[in-house]
Amino acid sequence: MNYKVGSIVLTSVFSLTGVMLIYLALQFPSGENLGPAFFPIVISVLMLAFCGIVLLRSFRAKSEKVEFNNKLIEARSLIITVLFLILWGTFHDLFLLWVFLLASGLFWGFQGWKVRDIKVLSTGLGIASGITLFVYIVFGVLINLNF
Amino acid sequence: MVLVAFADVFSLSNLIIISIGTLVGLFVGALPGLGAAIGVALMLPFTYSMDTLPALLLLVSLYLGSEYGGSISSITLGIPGTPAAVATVLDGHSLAQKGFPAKAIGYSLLASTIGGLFGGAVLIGFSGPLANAAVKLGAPEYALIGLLGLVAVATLATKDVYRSVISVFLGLLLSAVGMDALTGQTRFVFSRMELVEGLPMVPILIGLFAVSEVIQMISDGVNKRYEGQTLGLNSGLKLKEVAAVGKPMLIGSIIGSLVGVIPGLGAGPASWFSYSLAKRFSKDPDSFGKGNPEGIAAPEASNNATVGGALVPLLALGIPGSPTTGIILGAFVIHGIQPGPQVFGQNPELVYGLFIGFILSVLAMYVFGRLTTPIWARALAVPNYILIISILVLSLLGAFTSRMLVFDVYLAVAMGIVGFFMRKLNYSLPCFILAFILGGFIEINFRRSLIMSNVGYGIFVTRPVSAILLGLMAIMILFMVKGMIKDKKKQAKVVG
Repeated sequence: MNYKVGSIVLTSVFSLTGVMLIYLALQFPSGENLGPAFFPIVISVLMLAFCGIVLLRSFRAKSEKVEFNNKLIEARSLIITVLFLILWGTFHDLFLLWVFLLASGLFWGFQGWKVRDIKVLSTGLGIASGITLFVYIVFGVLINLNF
Repeated sequence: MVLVAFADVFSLSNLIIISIGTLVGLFVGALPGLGAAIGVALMLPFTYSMDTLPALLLLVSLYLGSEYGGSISSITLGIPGTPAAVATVLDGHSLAQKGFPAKAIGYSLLASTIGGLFGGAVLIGFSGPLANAAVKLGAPEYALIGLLGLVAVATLATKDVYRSVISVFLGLLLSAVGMDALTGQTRFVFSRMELVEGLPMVPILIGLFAVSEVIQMISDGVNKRYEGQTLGLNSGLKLKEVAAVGKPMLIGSIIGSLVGVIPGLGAGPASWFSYSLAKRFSKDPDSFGKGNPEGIAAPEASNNATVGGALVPLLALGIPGSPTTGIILGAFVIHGIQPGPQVFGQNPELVYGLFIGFILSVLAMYVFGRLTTPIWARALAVPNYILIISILVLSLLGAFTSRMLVFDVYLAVAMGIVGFFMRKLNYSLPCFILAFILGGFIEINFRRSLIMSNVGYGIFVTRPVSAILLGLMAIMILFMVKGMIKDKKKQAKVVG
């Protein structure tokens, strides 16, 4: 990622957030003295001013690369995690955690592994089962969490 | 009262909790990249079902343990476990490379213990008087103390002031989500019931610290593992060796305690200040960086002394000065206790219990440090992907446990992504977190001040304490501007 472009994009997102919050805050009923809109509006305006400064500086800055070493793995990991969250949010089953752990463990830890490789598979199974058991004992039994 | 607190702290269950906290702290401290804030955030959900004192003892012992734990990887690998242990690398790793890793660890552990005890003494000695003084303060002073904390964080310990200030504003805006405490008006909730009480602190903290760290670890490489010196790390020091590092330990302890009290600085800068001062006052400054034990003792005493110092404003004023103490504030609040001047009158047994437990935690850190350091040095060889999976699962479950809502898990993941990009692009997570934690406190006291004022905004300058606080803020800002001008001139010289 380019630092300059990243800065401009993220600061623009913050600026837009500020504008949106000002718009929403203006809809609040104005009370006596200082109403609920006062603080968000003041802070948003100040933030917009500073975002403006950062944007100007970013436009003037030289291009610089920000290291993202494993972009593909990051993206895939995020997809696996979100998929797990959606399934878990729907079914609330600890078994899903085990599957998620096994999948991500095999995916992250043993790139290029083959199903036939029993040692690799058994290590993955061991890690997934160990962590799931830990979660069950600590969160399920001790904290009494309803999965 | 003190005897009751003694009996409470020395109960078997609390001793076990202090032991667990210390061991976890040593582990997360030793692992490069992790640290006190992430450890405390991950451990917070485990405290929900505990009583208040054990919950606080768990977090405080973890905090202390992780500050020492950071030196383990600094010495054995040459990679600091925590930002506070960066200075320790210079002499700690050099001494280890000369063939004396056990000595280096011995100096670090002793100095951490002395610093921790000194910080504990400062906590015990100063928080009571400060709380007594704070009882006389009103809303304007509280608003300005909160603001002073944010100004300190944004100006003292950041790379890019503008981005830090934006981070502060973002945190303040996030804190405005939910029901307005003065009028009952809901703000920015987008018809979601989950947001009516405001954005939950635990998922936000877990997301920003732990989930963003997971993404960073994936980015660094899932199969990365550290190999360092793991043998012969268990060694004591002779009396002569201890005496030789007495002065730097004292320097580190004093600096660490003082810096710990100031919001925003924390253990990292404290250890560097101490290192520089110890070098200046050393009989052999030229050997610093080449394995001088004084260069290990000063920063290590300092980073552990900051823990006691950092708890002073939290306990006495109810204001956290660092992300880690912010999370500990969360533990107080979850258990229905608002730290601050009132807690000394309303929950004295808790305060005394915390004081005693703090000292006991320092001693536990020494004992477990002696016994388990070689184990943590070996644990560093755990492949990254196992750590990633473990931290991710603990993070997601921790976020869920806070309110049993899947919404909070999504929130943690979203905050993790935002936090990752903020870190990459030099926005300040500590500023963001502290502003989020202090936002409600500042807003309500600011508005109350103006409601009770006959002179409008003049209320902030007509009261002596308020005026002093404003003066302090002005000084900090002036120093910051001076530093920026100096930097610009330096850059211009380099370009020229």
